[in-house]
Amino acid sequence: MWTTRRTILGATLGGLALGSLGCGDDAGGTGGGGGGATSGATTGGGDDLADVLYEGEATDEALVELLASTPVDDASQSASFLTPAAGATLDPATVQTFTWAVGGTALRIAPVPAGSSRSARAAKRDVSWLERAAGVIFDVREAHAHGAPVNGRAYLLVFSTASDAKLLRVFTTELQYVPDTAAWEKLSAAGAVSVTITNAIFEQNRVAQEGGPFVGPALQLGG
Amino acid sequence: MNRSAGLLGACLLASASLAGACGDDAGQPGEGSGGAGAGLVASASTTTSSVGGASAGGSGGAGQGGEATSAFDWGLPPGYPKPRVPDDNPMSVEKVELGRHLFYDERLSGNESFSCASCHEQARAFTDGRALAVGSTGEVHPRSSMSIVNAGYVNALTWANPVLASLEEQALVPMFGETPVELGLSGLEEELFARLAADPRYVELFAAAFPEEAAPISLPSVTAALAAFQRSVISYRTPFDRYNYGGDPTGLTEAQRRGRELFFGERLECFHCHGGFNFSDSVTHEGTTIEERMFHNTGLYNLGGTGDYPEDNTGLHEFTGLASDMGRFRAPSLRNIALTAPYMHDGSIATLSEVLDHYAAGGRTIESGPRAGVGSENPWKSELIVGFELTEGERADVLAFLEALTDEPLTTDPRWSNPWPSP
Repeated sequence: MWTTRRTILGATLGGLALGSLGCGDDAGGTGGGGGGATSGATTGGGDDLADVLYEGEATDEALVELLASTPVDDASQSASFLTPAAGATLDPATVQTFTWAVGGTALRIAPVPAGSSRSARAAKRDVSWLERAAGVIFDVREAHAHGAPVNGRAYLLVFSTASDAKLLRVFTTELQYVPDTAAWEKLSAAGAVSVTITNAIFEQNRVAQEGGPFVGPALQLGG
Repeated sequence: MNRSAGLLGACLLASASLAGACGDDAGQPGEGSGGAGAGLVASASTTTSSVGGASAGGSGGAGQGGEATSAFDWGLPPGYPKPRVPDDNPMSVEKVELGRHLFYDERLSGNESFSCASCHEQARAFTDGRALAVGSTGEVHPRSSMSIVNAGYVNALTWANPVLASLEEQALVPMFGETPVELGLSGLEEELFARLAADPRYVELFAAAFPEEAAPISLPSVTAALAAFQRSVISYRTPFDRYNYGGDPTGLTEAQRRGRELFFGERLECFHCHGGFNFSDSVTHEGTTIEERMFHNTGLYNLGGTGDYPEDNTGLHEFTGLASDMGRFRAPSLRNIALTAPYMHDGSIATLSEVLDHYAAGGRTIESGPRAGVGSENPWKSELIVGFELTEGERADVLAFLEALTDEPLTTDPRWSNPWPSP
């Protein structure tokens, strides 16, 4: 099953080069991903998604679909960060919880205090990180292959710096992200970081009709 | 024969064949061979009848919507699938409104004591709270009433019928089926049309819904309107939807989110049969490219250790006759599941907590009595029903997640409520 799936994924990735929202999408770009098309094209089919961290029920099939789809300019459907606040410093000693909401929802929800301590969920993600590392070594991806397909929204977070457009990429079905130790070390050491969220609505891992993707505004941090 | 009459004939033929083999209906299934078929043949005779100048087999009764009708708005949020609508029965505001009136009208039963809503109450997410449905004549049915919510997404209607995919066709079964009797209209077709034609409100409603029809009060029009109304009843405002589709972090509680993770995980395997936006695996919609019609034996029974289910309720086996289809039923949507107790095709499990017990054990054990047996050892049981262990906290989380599938606005939404004044 895995072999078949990899084959499908590879074929899809080949087509990804033609997508308007490439893997190398500029995280700082908020204008609908036009710049991403160029970046994605330069990576071509060879731009695998091995660096992407998957959270919740997110799957790589859904991510490929998202990246291959043309973004839709609809502010009411884009996601905006609730925490941290713009300009917040990424303190290496305090893991930041990233939370967000879609469209008008974001306006109705009061942000929770930034800089909360690491949660049990984050600790759990450390284990997942080890599993991911093992997956890289043995060329076996983590167990999204047999999981549930994505139905509903999923969110691609792209953290970038001036020198690294893909500093960290996270694909999740949740509405928060707590970096694990390795991810936080990377983010907090990077200085000025920009992060964007691109979301889409899926039906069985495919971007649904009228389902986006929707690119949210960039959040500038640190520096 | 005009086009509509031809379609109706095809519908009746299909219904008759399925009824003879299975006799499933919208949740009051179990029609035996022969009787139901006879009922449907009788209903076929209405294609040539006319009442008050309205031909029961009137052309185009299934409705083309017509230029004079109003475009229908599903009211769904972005990205939420839209039901697939038959080409010969397009949605319109007027047709749905007519269907709503018919759905709640007791004149649609032989003895004028029952309506569709008698077994499909809005407050219960269009179920009836009974373990086994009861028809207009008091006959107790072998299965429980299924919800009509999101029925427009179902590609195998009723509990265990692999060929009944059309709501238009399905509407004929509760109206005219005789085994069991539901609305009890068999043989009373002329009287039904007379009742409808005698009500000025219906004269207006039918004319508005089928403006191209010279004689709009007809059986195809009735079934088309009922189907359109049912297709319009969609659940999309649950706490789960707010979180999962709306991107609202307050949609789910922490416990519900943990339960969601368990539900969609491989440990419990729930999502294999109850996955997707409709929490079922037999789904179709406007964008569907590949459809599956799935039926599952969950180890609810194992009579005598042979894998048998109670004789009047063998599921897909009633239709195919295959031993391996014994006890296989469609996985219904779990939307509004907290409102639709009791559970399973025969209402034999009272609570969601007990349903979890059943699946955790990998099947139900009945210690004694005529239905005694170890369901987990049923040889025809789905390979996905393997059992699992949950801590008390995890159990509470899963139940909390299932509660998050309740669409409270749906239970009082005026679009789907009774349009008739209270007596």
